[in-house]
Amino acid sequence: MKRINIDPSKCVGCRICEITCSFHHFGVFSHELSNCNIDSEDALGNFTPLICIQCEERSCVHSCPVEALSIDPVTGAVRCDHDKCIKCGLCIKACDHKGIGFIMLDGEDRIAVCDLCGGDPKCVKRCFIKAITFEDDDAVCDKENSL
Amino acid sequence: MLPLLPVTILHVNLTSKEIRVEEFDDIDVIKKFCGGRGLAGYLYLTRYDLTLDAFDERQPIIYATGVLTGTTLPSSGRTSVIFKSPATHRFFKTNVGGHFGGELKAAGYDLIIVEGRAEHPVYIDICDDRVSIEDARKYWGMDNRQINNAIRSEKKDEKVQLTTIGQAGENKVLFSSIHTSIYNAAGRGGGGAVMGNKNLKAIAVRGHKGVKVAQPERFISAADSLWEKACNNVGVQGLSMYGTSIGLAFSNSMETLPSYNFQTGYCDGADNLSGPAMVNSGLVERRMGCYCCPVGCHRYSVVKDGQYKGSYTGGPEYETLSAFGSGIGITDPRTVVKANEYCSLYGMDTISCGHMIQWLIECKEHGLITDEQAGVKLEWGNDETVVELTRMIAMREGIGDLLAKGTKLASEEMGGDSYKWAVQAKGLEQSRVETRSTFAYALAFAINSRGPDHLNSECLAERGGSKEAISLIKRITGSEKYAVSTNTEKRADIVRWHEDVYALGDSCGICAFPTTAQHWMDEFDIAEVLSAASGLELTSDEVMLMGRRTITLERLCCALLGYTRDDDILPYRLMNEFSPSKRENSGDNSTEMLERMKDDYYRLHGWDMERGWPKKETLEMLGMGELIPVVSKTITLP
Repeated sequence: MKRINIDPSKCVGCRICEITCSFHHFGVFSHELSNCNIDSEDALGNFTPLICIQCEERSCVHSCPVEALSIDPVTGAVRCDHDKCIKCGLCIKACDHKGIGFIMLDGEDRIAVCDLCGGDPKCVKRCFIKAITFEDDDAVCDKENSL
Repeated sequence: MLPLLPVTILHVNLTSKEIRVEEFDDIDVIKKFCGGRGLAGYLYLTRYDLTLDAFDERQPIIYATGVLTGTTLPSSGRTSVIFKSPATHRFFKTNVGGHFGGELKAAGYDLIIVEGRAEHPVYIDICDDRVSIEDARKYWGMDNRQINNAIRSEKKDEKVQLTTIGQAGENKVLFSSIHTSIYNAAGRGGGGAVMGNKNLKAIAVRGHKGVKVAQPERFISAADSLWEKACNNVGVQGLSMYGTSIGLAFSNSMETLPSYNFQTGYCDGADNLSGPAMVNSGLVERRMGCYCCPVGCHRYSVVKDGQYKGSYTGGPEYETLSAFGSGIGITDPRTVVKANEYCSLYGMDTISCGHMIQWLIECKEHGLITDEQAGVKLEWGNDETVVELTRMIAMREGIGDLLAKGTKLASEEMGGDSYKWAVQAKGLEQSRVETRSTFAYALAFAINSRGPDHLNSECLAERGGSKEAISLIKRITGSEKYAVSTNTEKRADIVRWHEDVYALGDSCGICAFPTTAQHWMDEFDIAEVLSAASGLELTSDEVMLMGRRTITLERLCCALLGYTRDDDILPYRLMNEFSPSKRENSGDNSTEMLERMKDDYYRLHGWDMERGWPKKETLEMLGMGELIPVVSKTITLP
């Protein structure tokens, strides 16, 4: 299975991933309505893409008290059943990667997490600099181990 | 909100403290001038009095995001800042990248027009529909990095985007710049001083809305294909890897790198300043990208050793490396980074600031000033002198007070022959382009309404440096043979096309690299994305006419202020002193050559030959007849 891989050292902070995501999911270019975020420290030239990386731990899923979160058996993406979600935010606290968060949709908070666009993530296609890639699990693990 | 329909304008009057929002929906004007730079110019000319002094509080400053800023169109995140320049005393358009424009769009605004002068330092705070004027007395005296940190801390929100001025703007240095995202500068023309004069330290923006387009599928299809074009473009890859100074060493080898205040085109050792050299030495730490740009040509550099260890800044860009490097005989890029850091923090145009130092060194060589009078050792290649003078200019300390006035005024005060090495025209110091071997550039710089500067046209294609460039020149002129920069034929056609597309790009928020420098986005592409975004069906001819009208309107602003073709000149040195390069037929920009090209250019535009002013019939033909009575109170048009 493929996973999202992030290389912050490559990110130029252009935010194309954010508004590509919002357009694909909500039909609007908005960095607020996005499943990914760039953590920007422009004074020091540091930019970090924050997006679910389909980690092994899946702390968010385990932390959910109402089983609103699950794993898509086909893509491996975290899914949220918004009807079940009680917006407690425990999943956000549980995630070490800052890959899950709230967005404000139609005046209401809602959990936002990468759904891999059904297996073909649009942000990855747009990331010219290859700070966000979509790779086989083994390749990602090798990179993580080498760090 | 949809792009163009309507254009949402935030008005802030710092004197009366009035804040109001205008929905500009005059479709006739929008179809003629587009939004952004084009519309801002139209509003300036029709609503404000351009003849007032640049520091008169009634003069507005307009922040105009591009029409397509905030969308996924590649390289579309730019903002024009428009004001009357205290350096040139002309209508002045400047343009900046970074992330301010995208955030302003997300807050729901296309333009901000600021008038008046606050009683004490203030900043404008915008969070979506909530807009206020806030006390900035405690922030006065801060540099651009400090003010960004301070306001973000105050708001407890790291995502606030700001446009700010540093100490140079507060001190009304006549080439002080306006910054976004700390290190991106609307550098030229002294906009920082205009903000400083208004007591406006910053505009802080946070936007939670978004941008929609009229025809989403059509838009995304067009934008996606432009992304593919960009990503497969060899020029984009090179620029992304090595930044704007990628070709510096090549220019040096061709003897076209302005060096020693434009006395030569070669500087021994300047190859150290090239993009590849700075990347390989580890000085450039990483790339930075403007809003939604696939190129990321902006740099972030850190000095890791030597006397300037610990300095860090965005940049340095090509212009800075030539202005503070080869222009002064400095070949250590760490020194350029230090001077660049000061310009980033204090907020100064690196082109003009570097030039002031070059000019002063020549003043000493000609016996007009001594080291004792200057307070520094004036000589080529002295690292400490460059860094110290840069600081003194920003703070207006000692000789810095004279240099802060720009070369035009400073050479008048210095006297003697110092005007001969003041490489300025119209009050603006020339960009780092050797126009004596690139003649479309020479014409473009001479007729540019803001001064001898590349950011109104950027006629790179005339050099025929790539297949795309040659094919563009053929499309404009009918033949590939004109893709030679020392040819004087067809330069008017080349310049006019570049000006039109440049103005259109500015209005849309599109950077110059896709359109005029790397040729992966043309007027057909822009017509398609603009149509899909706005829902207005626009042809390539119609969008190019938007650019043409913008250029014509800005020319009309020059005419209104009494400027004529006699003012369309290049700096003395370039017109009167010979500089050989390895390009054939290069040498100087003689009056005879320039006047002939100017004739061609005015004729092509339908402007009169005597003054270079737009004729009434030309304005009528362009659908700009309504502007004739606007200027006729002051001047009589031909």
